[in-house]
Amino acid sequence: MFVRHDDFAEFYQASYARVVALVAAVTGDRHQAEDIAQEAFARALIRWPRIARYDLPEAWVRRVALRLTVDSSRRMRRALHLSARLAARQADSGRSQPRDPLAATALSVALMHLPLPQRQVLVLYYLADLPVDDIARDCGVSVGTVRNRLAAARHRLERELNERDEEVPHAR
Amino acid sequence: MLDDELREQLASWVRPVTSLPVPDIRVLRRRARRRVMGRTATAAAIIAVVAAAAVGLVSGLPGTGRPAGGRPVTGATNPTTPSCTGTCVDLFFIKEFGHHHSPNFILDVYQQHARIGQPIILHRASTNDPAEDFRAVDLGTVAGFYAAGRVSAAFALHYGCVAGGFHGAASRAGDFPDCFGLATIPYGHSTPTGACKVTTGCQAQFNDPAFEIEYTPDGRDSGLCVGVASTAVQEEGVTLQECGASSKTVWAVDLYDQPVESFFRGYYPLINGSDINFSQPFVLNYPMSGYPTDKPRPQLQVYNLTGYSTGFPPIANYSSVDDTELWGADVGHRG
Repeated sequence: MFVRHDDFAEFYQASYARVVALVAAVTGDRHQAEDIAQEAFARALIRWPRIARYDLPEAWVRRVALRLTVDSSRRMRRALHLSARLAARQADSGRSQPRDPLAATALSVALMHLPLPQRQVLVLYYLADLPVDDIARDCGVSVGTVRNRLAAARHRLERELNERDEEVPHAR
Repeated sequence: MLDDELREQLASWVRPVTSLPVPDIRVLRRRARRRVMGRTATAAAIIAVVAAAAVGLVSGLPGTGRPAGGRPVTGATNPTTPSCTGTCVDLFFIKEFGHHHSPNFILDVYQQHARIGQPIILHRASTNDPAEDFRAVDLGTVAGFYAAGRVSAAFALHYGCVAGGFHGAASRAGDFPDCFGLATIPYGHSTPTGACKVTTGCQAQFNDPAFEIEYTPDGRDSGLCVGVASTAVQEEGVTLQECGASSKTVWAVDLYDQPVESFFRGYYPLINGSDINFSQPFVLNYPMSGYPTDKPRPQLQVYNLTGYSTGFPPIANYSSVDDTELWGADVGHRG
């Protein structure tokens, strides 16, 4: 029933990594990201005759994945907090390690401290390089809200990073 | 942190993830299949209930005083306002948003304004929101609307079981104006597309039920119905339009195209009466990426039906219609 759309396989191969990376950046959990991405692609597969007609089918998958992230986040809020605290402890204990991995870890910890809506906007803007209009569509909010969230996320991220490592350059 | 630096750090952080192997597509197919099967009755159960349910089909349709699912209505769960009595109807979105016992989000006139062009949205079901009061009016069949000059002959031919060139035994089942039910055209008899060449008979047709959905805030007639402003096109917004004036406010219950479990639970696609696309008709649809609490509120729209037109309901189509295109109705009895 679903398997007649060969172009889906092509689409899936081409866009899977991007979607997983995006979700991983939002959730901070690789396995959860893979699970969410697969669920989003499975839903796309069911609806492929319709989605294939879209200009950007990947945008649909991304949008679904982001919504699944929200659902998943609600269910796993406690677990996420726990893992973030754990990661923070690991980051704090590793200050003497080389700078690059430390910076990445510190960034991930700081990211996890952001509220999910801010994290989504930040990741879509900086990682997916999406314009604000597209982010607004993906998140189902107005452009103004996206700008506000982005500014708040930047501000908070900067504060978090500064608290963790004074050597991190100050934001503009 | 500078923007470029943040961008670079984010990219390097997730880089290991991007190099992960892409899971085999069969994993996805299994997952998709499980998802579909999870919401679908087993084939054996389907076959078993088809005959029994077909008998109860008529009593389960909108306009017969019972909800589309054929269940008796209990006032306790009805979310229409108290003054909206008797025939108020709540339309709501299936599965993700609600079901007959718990509609959750139902049709709503944006900002309550009773004026032509006002967008129709979904809003959380409430007992004190007049913007959610609707009444199914002009309940009948597509053939009836055709007789009244409200829908086109082409529309009636596809959804109204209008005989057209039918002859012989088939004409008895397919006669205009009231041929509700299945009409099988025997071998050799003419059909709208030529002589039937199938020895077991040709495509069966329904005279689909049809109606208008009038906005009745606090039980008062507004003369405005849910419809489209012009002949239905893809993603055209659904708005309030003048009742009884054209086919654009007529909605036909598409008995052909719905997942079978929805068929028997009372969830149907609603085809707009102005539709001229008969392979993938334009049906009432909620934007797939939208959620009723989003701002700005997503507006209902008409969208191509996603089901396959296999010609016989509903088994062959049992999994092909998006949930965003399936609607249920409960009739209010408060007051």
